[in-house]
Amino acid sequence: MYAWKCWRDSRSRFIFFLIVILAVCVPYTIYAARPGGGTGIVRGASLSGVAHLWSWVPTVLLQTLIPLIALFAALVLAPASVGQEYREQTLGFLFTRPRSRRYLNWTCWSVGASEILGLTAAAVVGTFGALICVSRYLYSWRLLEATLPLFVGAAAIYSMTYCLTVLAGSGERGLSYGVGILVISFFLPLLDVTLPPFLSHLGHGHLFRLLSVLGFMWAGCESAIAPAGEFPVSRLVFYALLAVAFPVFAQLIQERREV
Amino acid sequence: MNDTAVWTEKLVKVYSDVTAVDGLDLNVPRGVAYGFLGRNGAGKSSTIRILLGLARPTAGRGTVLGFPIGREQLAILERTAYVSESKTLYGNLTPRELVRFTSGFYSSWSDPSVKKYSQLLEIPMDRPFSKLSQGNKTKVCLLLALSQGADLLILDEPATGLDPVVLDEFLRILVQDVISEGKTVFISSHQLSDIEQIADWVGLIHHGKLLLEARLDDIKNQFRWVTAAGSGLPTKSPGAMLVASEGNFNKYLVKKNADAFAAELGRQGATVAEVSPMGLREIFLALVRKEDPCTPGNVGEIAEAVSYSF
Amino acid sequence: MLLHVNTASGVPTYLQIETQVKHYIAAGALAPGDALPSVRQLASDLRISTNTVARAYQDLERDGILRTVPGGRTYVGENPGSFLKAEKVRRLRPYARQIAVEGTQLRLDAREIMQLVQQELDALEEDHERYSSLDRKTR
Repeated sequence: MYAWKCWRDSRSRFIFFLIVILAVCVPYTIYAARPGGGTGIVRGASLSGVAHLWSWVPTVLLQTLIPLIALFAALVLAPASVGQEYREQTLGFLFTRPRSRRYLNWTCWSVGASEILGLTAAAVVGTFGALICVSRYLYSWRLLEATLPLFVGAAAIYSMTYCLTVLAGSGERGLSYGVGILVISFFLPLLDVTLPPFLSHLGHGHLFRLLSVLGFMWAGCESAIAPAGEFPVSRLVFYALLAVAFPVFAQLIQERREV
Repeated sequence: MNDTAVWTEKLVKVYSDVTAVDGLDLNVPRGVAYGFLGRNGAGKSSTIRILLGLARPTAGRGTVLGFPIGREQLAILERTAYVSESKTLYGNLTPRELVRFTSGFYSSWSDPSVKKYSQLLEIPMDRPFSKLSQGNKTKVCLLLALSQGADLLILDEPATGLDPVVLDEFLRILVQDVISEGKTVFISSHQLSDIEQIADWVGLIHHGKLLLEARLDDIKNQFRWVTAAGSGLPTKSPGAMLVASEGNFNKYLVKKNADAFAAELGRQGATVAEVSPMGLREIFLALVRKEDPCTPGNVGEIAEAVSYSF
Repeated sequence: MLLHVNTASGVPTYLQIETQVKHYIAAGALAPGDALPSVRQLASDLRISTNTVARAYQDLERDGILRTVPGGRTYVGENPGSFLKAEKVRRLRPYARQIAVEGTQLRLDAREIMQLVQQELDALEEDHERYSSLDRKTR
């Protein structure tokens, strides 16, 4: 029942982002495949043309645009239901229902995480499906693997913002802190601080490359698009751990909180 | 301990600058209507929050329905219905949706009760909660509590915004469907008249401690005003306390054996004008003022409020 | 049987119920064998706790004024107050003391106090007559 309520609270935001994502992916793919277009892609005319399409479109969408949208969605979805509880001061009601605060915490988090999964999967599958339709050819199943880095990266930011919302006791503040941290992490790769040798394989030696979630998502999609791409396994594990660790921290906070 | 609905032993709750609960020993029997009384800031809400697991006690322990607070809090929450003072529920949900949401938590939920009580209490079931009047909000909270099938109802100011007709109906429901079924009702309220109507037990909390806990009927059997005139009247006596003095006249609050006290005064040569019973409001005010030396009307002050007509 | 209680009064509610029941019996409005409302029904009607009504009924039953059958219904006892004379006197004495004290406090003399008591007894007798004649008419 609580999952239903969390869904109700975040439903409109989820649907908004779903529409945005599909409205970006599908029309762009169709546009990119138009005959005589400036990119020189000819629909289904030749294998190299198809290959070019299947490389170009995901690069623009899945490596560049979708990560931005997904991160934005993660920031906005995180404070949706848990922030609502704090804003309306309904915790006195919720915490006097016979469910452990651990259950409530994870149910709320899971609804949002599922929504993030839904959005990233929709982006990848939407792009994939549109490419098949316009090129009349299934060039590479591997494109679907892009879902994993997109989801894990967005989930990590979602979890972080979720935890910040619980910590701050406010959806607005959680969102601002999340945005702040994310913006800082955008600029970190510009700094050139080297990691100690034993951690160097994590971020190819650079600390702030490790902390750049966009960089991770970019690298993850790269391996799904370019056949020889190397999948950033260690960074995937790092972000997956973050995505799970933040809600654990949020659980500990909620269990100790006095209402 | 196990045959009580609520039991606490030396319960203490200290917030950073204030001791809200200061060694509270509650004993609420099962199957009664217990009125929990106290001034604002006396510790009523803090106590309730501890019972429900919303706050942790600084010291002391307790049980609710036999289950230890804290350790088996979920077992307590399964069997306890709570109506908070603020009556906040999810604003965007309608009462019907709130019922649907809440019913999923409880195996003892009763759908026929929802239908019955929503009609008896006249609740608009399809308007979003945020758009309801204060009275309707209270009614929705009461509906959820009554339909839960709980063994203990903890109600914090349950009459907020209720008009007299609805309140009367609610009291009838409480008697008929809750108390008569052997369940326990724990009401925290300022509305002494409502408490006096329905409660068979009262607990009076002041500065975090219990001043009084007994059957209301027993309290009324024993507490008396004794008014006497004479010279050299005692200012202190076991079980009796002087509350007002004017010239030759003294008014005493006697907690028990008032007739014996009156007879003793008579033996000392005083004329006892009256030994009169006290309502709950008078008992409450007298006991609470006794504990707060700064409150007007207390011992040592000539109380203008007390007047004698001859 | 319609009762009225005033919970704001200093008189305990259960005592008010007991007094009224005794009064009705003394006045003849309730006859031996008449059924009383169930504890639950009376509590619900009066909006007071079931325990309070139960206490009143229990006290009246202990005094032999009411009688509860195994099925649960309560009736007026056949021989209300079947006590020894000594016990009856012992029970009435506090009330007699109260009249004596109150009367003396009010500076009434013994004759006036006795007159008052006699008037009340006469009024009860009248009520009893009235109810009995009503009864005969309806039969």
